[in-house]
Amino acid sequence: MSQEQILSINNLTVEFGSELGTQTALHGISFVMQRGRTTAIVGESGSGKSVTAYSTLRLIEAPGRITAGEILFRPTGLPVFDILALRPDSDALYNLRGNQIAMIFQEPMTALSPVHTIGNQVMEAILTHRPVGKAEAFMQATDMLRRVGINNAAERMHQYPFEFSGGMRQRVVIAMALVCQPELLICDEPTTALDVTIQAEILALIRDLKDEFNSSVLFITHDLGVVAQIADDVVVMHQGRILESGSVRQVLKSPLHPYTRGLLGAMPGLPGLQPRRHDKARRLATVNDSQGTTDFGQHPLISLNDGRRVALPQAKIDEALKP
Amino acid sequence: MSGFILRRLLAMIPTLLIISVIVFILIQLPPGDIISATLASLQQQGMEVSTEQIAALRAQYNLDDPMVVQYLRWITHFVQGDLGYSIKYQQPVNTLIWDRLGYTVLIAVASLLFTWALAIPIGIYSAVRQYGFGDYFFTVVGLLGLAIPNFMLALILMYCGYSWFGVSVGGLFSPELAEAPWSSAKFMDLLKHIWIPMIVIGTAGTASIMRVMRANLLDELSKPYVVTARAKGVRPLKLIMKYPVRIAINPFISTIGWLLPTLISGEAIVSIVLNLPTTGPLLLQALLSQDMYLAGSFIMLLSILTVLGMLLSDILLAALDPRIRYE
Amino acid sequence: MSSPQLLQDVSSARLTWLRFKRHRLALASGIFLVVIYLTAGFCEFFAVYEPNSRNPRAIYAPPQQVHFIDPVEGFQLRPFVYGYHLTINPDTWVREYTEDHSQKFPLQFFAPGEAYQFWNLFGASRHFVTVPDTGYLHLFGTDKLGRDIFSRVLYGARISLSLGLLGVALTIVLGVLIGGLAGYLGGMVDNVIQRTIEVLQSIPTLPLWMALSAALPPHWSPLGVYFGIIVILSFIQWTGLARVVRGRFLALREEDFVVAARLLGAGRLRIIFRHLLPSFMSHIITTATLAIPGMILAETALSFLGVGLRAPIVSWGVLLQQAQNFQVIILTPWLLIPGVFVVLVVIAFNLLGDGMRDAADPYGGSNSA
Repeated sequence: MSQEQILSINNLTVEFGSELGTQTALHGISFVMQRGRTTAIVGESGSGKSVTAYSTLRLIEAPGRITAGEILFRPTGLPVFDILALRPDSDALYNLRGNQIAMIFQEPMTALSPVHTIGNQVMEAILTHRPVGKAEAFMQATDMLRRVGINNAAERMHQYPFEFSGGMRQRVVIAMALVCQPELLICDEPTTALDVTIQAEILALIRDLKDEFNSSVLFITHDLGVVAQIADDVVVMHQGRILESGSVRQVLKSPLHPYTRGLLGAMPGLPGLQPRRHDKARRLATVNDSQGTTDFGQHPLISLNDGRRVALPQAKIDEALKP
Repeated sequence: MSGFILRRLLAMIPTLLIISVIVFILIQLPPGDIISATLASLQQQGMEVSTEQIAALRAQYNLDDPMVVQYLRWITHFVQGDLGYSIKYQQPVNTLIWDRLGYTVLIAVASLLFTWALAIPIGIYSAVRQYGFGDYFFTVVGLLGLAIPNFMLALILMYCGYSWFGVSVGGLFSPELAEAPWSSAKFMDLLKHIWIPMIVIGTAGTASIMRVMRANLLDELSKPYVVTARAKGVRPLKLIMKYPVRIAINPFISTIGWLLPTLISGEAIVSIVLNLPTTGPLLLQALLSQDMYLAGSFIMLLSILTVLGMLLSDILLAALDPRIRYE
Repeated sequence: MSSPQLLQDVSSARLTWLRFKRHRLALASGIFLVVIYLTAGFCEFFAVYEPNSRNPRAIYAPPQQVHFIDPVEGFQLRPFVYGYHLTINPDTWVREYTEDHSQKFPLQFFAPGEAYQFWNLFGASRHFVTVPDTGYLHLFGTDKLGRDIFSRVLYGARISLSLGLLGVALTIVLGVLIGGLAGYLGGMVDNVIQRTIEVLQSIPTLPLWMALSAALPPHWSPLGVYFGIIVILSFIQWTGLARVVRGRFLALREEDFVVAARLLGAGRLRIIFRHLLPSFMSHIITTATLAIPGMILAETALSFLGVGLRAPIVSWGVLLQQAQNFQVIILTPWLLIPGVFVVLVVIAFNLLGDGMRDAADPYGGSNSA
């Protein structure tokens, strides 16, 4: 693992137990994240993208179980370690959560405790990880709220979540995540529950803060439009497997895998990004595919010279690469 | 907040009115009327009753008035503090009822506190160590508490108290102190006696509250905001104490409302078995001898107690949950 | 998060059953309840005696021990009991029974014994277990009139257990009907029903039950009293279920699948019976299962106090009435045996209900591994 890589996930396998036996949510996926860049994982519901995010912080709970793999993490100036090898109650794991790696969740309406003040919840992150007093924590929290664009921050510290709008709550959640200046920020569909104008604001905010704090971002989404706006690299997932990965430019401009093409084709108007218009029949087929009638991804990932990877037989790749 | 309390107080009035109608119907329900009951009671004591006397009695109780008038008279008197006349005891209900009601409240509150002191920690423990040995153990104990009829538990505890400590554990006071004025000795004596009814009545409630607490907590533990806090690096114990317990307490406070009728019911039957000087035994005697004014007054007063308890739990809830407060 | 796809291929009923089977305690409780209900149904056959037949040789006699080993003949396959030997303690006047080894009564299975009328339909005399008519068999001892507790517990089971079932059936009908009306119609009707429920719930149940059952006319037949008690218990109990049903209706009314059904032109009744009721049927059944023990306990308490069922009806509560004070427990603890059955049945119903609740909750299954 090189210095430029902040996170390297190798052969991560997650299983969920149920009455009918074990279901595999992640079939041994592998990818790396470059330091200082934003990597997006795209996929539909059930593709395993959130499971990947939760695994990184060891937040998978029964009946889910990480059965194999390693997640190597390299904080600046510190040696690499495997997150999956940490003991569940070790200080290292609790230091990891919220301090070195922070997470933003999908639902700003429920991600905050309804009966505690905003200030209490933002300060909690500081008090958990920094040896500071309450007054100092209050100052830092207020400062952070101001930086995510909340007016009258000192006043709003004393308010409860229900006094905030959805967009404002998401700003609070972002403030809570960034207040300890984590090196890696995981965003699990942070804009899905918001309406479009607010979405753009939040995306811009995440982008700006990422640069300001010099963090890396792992961005989970199902929305290729969002990917185009925020990501540097993309990983396309489907039913617990990676189908294609590469830079945004590579993947969105000239997708190799039919599934990626289908995803792009199924998306309404994004001028300049759509490579080829598919006919109607093709798009309908995509909808079917997404329900699992066609099994993609049984093929192992093949690395290409330009750095991308795709789960297709060599012949198909050559065919797709033809101009 | 004061507006909220006022609204709730006003809402109590129709509730209490309807209860009073139900209670009045109860009073009227047994076959025969107060006169025939009085006659039976007088004849039992070997007294001759003439027809003039019967007529006089009928006039005294205005039994020939329509029901509505009788009800209005009863409720007006009730509100003015005149609870009627007990035929069985040949005394105004007022002189019989207040001491006993006081002890009922005392035992109910003691049981409530006992229930909470036991159920909250166990509920939290069971939720945190879900499916652990302790969880199963307490579930079994709780089930036993739920399943053993109150009166049986009382009998068994009396038996234990008798065979282990050699003390008679019935009543609330030792015989020599029962009529004595209040003193520290009498208070200590009360403490020595109150634990049996407290445990017996509290046990049944403990089982259900324990499980409510456990279920609430487990429910809360899977909420997104708890995951958020976990992702923040908060330790499990702190997590549990700060977030879910704080929220699980809310439905808990509201248990005062529904627990109180249960506690008072439990109190009634346990008091009968243990022969405590509370409302229970007197109510049973009144019912068995169809002394309906006495019985009705008891049920009315117990209902008022319950309604007040519910009001109290509503106010506490509003004080605890900002969402209700700001409504 | 990813949901296992295989689950899609299984019907929800089957899934519920699979989940339920995992709750071994619930399954065991269910089997226990079936057995005890069957025994109660055929209690004439399983009992040794009629509930009111007396044995003058055994007043307040303790349970007989079943033996396999005879001091003379050694082990024998057919179990037997000894007769009682009575002495009266000259100091305390307490009856003291010891085993009389000169009297030996072998147990006979499926043999003729005391004659009975099965369900008042036909006469028979075969019993599951009995002893030759020169002897007597009191597995749980006898009461003050020399009546066999074992037989009385079985007859009492018929009354107590059926009362729980019938009471809950009535409760369900009332609760679903009234709660459904409130939830579906809303507005004024809902308000009135809500208020009524609130009022009924704020009267302490036991005193109210006591008052209502004390008001049952004394000249009613035992059967009349039995149904009177059922009505009284249900009259209070329906409020809880009605509340649940109402809440569900209110929530479901706005659910997408109900709105979709309405937009597709489905009629009101069709929506209620085809879409709303099935979606919380499991919930109703579970609530009902958990309500049955409450009914049984209430009957026990009322009868114990002497305001519920009355002799000659035999119920567990009526039987426990004999254990009113704790001197009885010291001298004749076997009078509490009916209470043991109450406890067992109540626990079984609770475990069964818990298992059913976990199994029926489509989202809670994984949590209850």
